[in-house]
Amino acid sequence: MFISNLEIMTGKKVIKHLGLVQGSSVRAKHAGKDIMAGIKNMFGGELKAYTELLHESREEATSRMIEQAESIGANAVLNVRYSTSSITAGAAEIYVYGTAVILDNLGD
Amino acid sequence: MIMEQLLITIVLVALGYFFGRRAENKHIKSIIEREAVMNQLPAMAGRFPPQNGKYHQQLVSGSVVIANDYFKTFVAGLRNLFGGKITAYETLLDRARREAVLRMKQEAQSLGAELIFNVKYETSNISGQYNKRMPVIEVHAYGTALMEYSTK
Amino acid sequence: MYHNPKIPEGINSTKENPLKEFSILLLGTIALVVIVSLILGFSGSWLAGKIPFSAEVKIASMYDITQYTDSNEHPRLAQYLQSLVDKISKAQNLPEEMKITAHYMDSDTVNAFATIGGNLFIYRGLLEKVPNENTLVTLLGHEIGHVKYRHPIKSLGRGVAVAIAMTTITGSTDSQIMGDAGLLTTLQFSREMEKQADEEAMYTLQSLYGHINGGAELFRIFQNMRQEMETDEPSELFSTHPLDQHRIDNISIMAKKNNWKETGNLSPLPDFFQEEINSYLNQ
Repeated sequence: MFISNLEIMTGKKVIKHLGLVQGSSVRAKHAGKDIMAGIKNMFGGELKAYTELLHESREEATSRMIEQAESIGANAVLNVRYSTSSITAGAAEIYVYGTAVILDNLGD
Repeated sequence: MIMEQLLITIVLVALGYFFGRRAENKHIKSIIEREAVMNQLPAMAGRFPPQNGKYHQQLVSGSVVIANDYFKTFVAGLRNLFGGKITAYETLLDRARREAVLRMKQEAQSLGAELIFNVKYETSNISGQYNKRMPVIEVHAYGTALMEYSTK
Repeated sequence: MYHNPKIPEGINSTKENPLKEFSILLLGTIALVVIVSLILGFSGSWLAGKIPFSAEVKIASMYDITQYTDSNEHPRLAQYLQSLVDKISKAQNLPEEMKITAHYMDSDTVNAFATIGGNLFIYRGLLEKVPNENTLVTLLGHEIGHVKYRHPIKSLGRGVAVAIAMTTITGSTDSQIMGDAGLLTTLQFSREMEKQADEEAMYTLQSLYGHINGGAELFRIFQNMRQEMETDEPSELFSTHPLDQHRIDNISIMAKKNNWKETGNLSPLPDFFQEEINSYLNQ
């Protein structure tokens, strides 16, 4: 599976466009992390626990999008976009979407 | 009661200033050092990859969650009364964006990429339940890494 | 063909010590708060002064002020205080609808105060220290003077206006704007108000007894009390009450100006007075 946020794949031709595929993941930070973050908040700096949490969340969303693309027979997703929204305090939704396509001569 | 609250606020603001400033200066220094190395791998905002070569493409990304220190939150709170430029947040956002791009470039470098195209930024406020007034900002940078066929 | 040259620092951020902005903002905020509370305080107190007394009585009735009084347990004392109050009201030429009610408080606090709706609260602690009727009349005359010049409602108006402004600025919702706890404790009169009430009290004393002897005694009570508590008298700058000595001196100045007699016979307090205020000891 090829994932790219460009509209084309260099050296390859799109045989078929299969429309939108998407993946999403909503995760909440647990209260302990939030409180630790509160302490860190006093002094500033990176909140590594949150960085990891959102990274995992993004990977999950992306793998869900890939699963969708595979299920409809695509071998690449182009023009991928991410969006993050804080739907309630303490929970963030990661959403990823793109166009599923079938590319030719992926073999070489 | 009011005096105690005032005292706690003053102490937090002072601690926030000293620790926050120290952490910030350290971070900026490290960003500048790493950027000097990472600039060998150029990142572009353009959507169209060079037409003269055949490239592998792969999505790469980097993200960072950064917290504001108490001093900056306090200054921004005061600034809200008068309006105008919140200079305290400028460096914070600048640092977060550059850090995210650096992480993205690091991932691309590990893939042996030559170029990164169509770089996009996402900035979101993910303040939690217990500290709504304290901004926690996530910056996510992503783009497509281009790897030449021959290198693979 | 593709390069990422180094971009100079400091284009996207302001190169200025954040402490400078901080201090400017902090000073600005303090100035804003002071100016806003002064302006609103003045206009709130001015507007409140326009409220007719009948409306003030209605506002006061919302708080059920009578729940704090101990007058019912001490009917003789309450009656005596009320008769003095009525006499003083006449002497001060209060308007018809301005009815003053005296409330006796069976508590050690050395204090007395006037609040909205023409209600006076007099504590046992202060009555214990009053040596004669003339001094008691000075005290009551002072508090009734506050009511006459509408000081309680003006002070309440100022307090409400400032509280609303502060809630708006700080965005906090926990401050009680018109709670009854605030009504009894936060009514603070300005120094001009106190001076006005002092003058009214002296005028009352003169018109009822033909001399002002016993008036200064009231302020001596406060002076002694403060010395007993060993707290230094607050410097005049921070206190809304004029310094006690200052008030005593002011009485002499007034007396000279108006040709009032500073000596004269003092009227004793009624026999049951001591009995009543000591009654708590027997309980």
